[in-house]
Amino acid sequence: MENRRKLGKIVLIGVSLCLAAVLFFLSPMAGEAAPKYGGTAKLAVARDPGQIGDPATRPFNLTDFRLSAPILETLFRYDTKGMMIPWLATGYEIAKDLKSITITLRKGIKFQDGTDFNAEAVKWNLDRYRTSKNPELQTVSSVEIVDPYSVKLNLSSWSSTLVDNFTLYPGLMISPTAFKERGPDKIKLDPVGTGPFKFKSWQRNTSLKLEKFDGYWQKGKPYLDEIEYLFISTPMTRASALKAGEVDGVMTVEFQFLKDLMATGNFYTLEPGLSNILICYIGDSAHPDSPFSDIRVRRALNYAVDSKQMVETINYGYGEVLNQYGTKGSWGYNPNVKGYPYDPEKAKKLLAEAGYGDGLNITLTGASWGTYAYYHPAIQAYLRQVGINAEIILDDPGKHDALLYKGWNKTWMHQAGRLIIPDAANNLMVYASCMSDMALKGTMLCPDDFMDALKKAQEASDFETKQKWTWEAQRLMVDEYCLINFYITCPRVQVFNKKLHDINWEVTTTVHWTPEDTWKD
Amino acid sequence: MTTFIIRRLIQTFFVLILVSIITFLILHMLPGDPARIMLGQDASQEQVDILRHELWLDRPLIVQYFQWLVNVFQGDFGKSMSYHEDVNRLILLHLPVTFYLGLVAMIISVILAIPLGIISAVRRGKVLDSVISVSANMGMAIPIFWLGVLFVYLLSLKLGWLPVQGYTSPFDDLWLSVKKMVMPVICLTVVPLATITRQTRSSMLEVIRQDYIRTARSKGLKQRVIITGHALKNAIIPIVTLLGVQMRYLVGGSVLTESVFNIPGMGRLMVRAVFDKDFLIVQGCIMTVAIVVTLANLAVDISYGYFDPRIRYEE
Repeated sequence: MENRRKLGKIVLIGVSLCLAAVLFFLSPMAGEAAPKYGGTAKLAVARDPGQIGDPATRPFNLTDFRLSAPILETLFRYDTKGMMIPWLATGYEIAKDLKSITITLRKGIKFQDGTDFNAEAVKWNLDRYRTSKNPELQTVSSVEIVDPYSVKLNLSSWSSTLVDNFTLYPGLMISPTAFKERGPDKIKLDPVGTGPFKFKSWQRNTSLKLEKFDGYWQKGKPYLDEIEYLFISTPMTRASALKAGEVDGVMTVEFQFLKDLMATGNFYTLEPGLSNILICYIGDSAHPDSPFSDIRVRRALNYAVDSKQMVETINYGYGEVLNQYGTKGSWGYNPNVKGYPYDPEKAKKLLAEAGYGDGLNITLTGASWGTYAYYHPAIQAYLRQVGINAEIILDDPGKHDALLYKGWNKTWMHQAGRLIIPDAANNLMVYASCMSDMALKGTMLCPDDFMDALKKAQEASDFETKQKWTWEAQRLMVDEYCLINFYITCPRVQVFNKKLHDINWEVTTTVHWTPEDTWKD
Repeated sequence: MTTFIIRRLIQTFFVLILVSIITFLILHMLPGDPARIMLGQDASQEQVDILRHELWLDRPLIVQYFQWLVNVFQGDFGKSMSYHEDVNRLILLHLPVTFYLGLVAMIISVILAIPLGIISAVRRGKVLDSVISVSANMGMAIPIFWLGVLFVYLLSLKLGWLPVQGYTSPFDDLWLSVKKMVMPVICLTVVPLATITRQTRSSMLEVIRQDYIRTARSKGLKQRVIITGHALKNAIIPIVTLLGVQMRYLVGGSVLTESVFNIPGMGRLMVRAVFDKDFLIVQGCIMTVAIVVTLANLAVDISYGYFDPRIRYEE
């Protein structure tokens, strides 16, 4: 009897210990800490937005979008692979005849002024957007209310890039009631959306404060009491403010400050996931008397440059080597594209074949601001080694834009290509093809098969077909015709204090982060 | 005196018109389309054309200029397309900040510079004169941006005594405002302090050699009375002229100081507007600076009559 009791005790203790261990490893204490409520997140950004309340009325740029994200939400968002996920909308259905799309909405959401988020509000927003001469919804002929939580978009023509737009400007929802009460001017500076934070105050060129919205549709969120953006234009001052603890995070820290900040052990970095700035150059390949019209010259320009070394030196190890219009990890990236690895001997050989064995003089026109200016001399040095003498002409934003839209005759133009959304087909059409509003039509070669592949991607009714033709367009652009010289990405590295958690700034696209999940120790 | 003032005001008016024309022309000669810059590369050409029409950019330059001028005479500098606010309001938000910092810097420079200049002149050739002169030369040579960065590194990051950046109104939190002002005010003080010290020394040296100063000494007057009662009064005119020239910092601000210390003043407002090609802000700011500077110079000219009775403006 005595032994049985002892055995019983041992078994009981053993089971209790096992149970405790299981509970421990399942609990938040074992890994991530549990989110805490309260506090203000102070984020330093380079400049204040122009407006944060009316995406249908331009200007409303990427900075405006990013900073208004805690207030205004989109119908859909992206995950880390670039696939759309539900947000204010729960899903969409494309009609078999491709003449309409029906979007279903999430129930139980209210705007910050108490207005219901429903089909009526969405129709109002979409109608306003498409009638404001914005380009994204031009193929939507009308918007109907199907039921209180469904809207149907009737289409004049189909485009596979349409739905992705609902993760961006057209997908941002503002309160129709607030718009009618405040008017088109005041709403820009005093917005009302469905987001986890509502507008509190705005001091121009100083700070923008947002406060918690208690009626947010995700119960239990947000965790922070306030978000405060501080507008600090000088990169050094932003980095110093972070180091001194005056701010909790800095958007875009220049590479030369990163080492010093990271050495303190108090900070962590986030690099953009799918949205990045691509350092690439486009030569005038359309004019027969331009040296860039010869594919051997275009290929030589790629072989001549050691992109890997540029990542390690100019980028301090951040970013990646680029060989197409897209970054690894997104669906638009074609892993089969060979590209042009560093091979200066091959570059020289190609130049000799093209008749430039004695040397080639070109003009490189490039951006003078930010970190862009560092890349041009590096590339110039690589090109010199293979016999290409590049004269660098730096331009300011105004002149750069003027060239983009008027053309750059016989020069090699730096293009800081932006991936705003992961839809590579859309990016190629807008920024890298003759369908663009920019002067590419008269400056870049537009081979029929490349344009055809883009068109097929645009017309695809399912994802697999769209991806297939996008990949084909990437292959043709790079391996077949070498239309653009891709080198590396120039990532916008964000730095945050370790006390700030789950901010996910730009880990999917350049305008999205998770203010509803952000919390502070 | 009245005739003089009226004549100067009429001259000022024409100076301002000329400044406005030059500013307008230069801004419109800069490359780049302001509508495209504001809307970004994603915008369609149709949107750009609509915005250009709204901003009157599709009209002839002379029409744009005269429309702006008519509005200015009605006290309206227009509406900024990048801020979506009235230019008047933006200037009224930023001007007091620049004025506050500039005024504090100017007062400190004058209070320190004139005595230093006098000491340097009176002690000419001595160690004190050398120290003051060398310091003044250094003050004029030191790059303000570098000085600002050095202050941030030493006083904020290393010692943790002062905040790195920002501006707080003295009416909101006086102590925080003072702490935030220390470094930018020192940066803004250095050059005028050095300049006024050198000018004071130079003017005093010229006056000290005059016969009436020798007469005053031979009458047995105390050195302090000779310096303040006789020498300084005669040496003050060039110093006052220099102060008039420095007035532009009270309204124009120092872009470098405002950038390093993140102060939302007129300098930063103007620079951002130039890069954004927000013409209306640039024109409004330049006109504001021009008005204040020309009126300040008028005040300086009138003050000559007070300091030197020999200078009188005929009726």
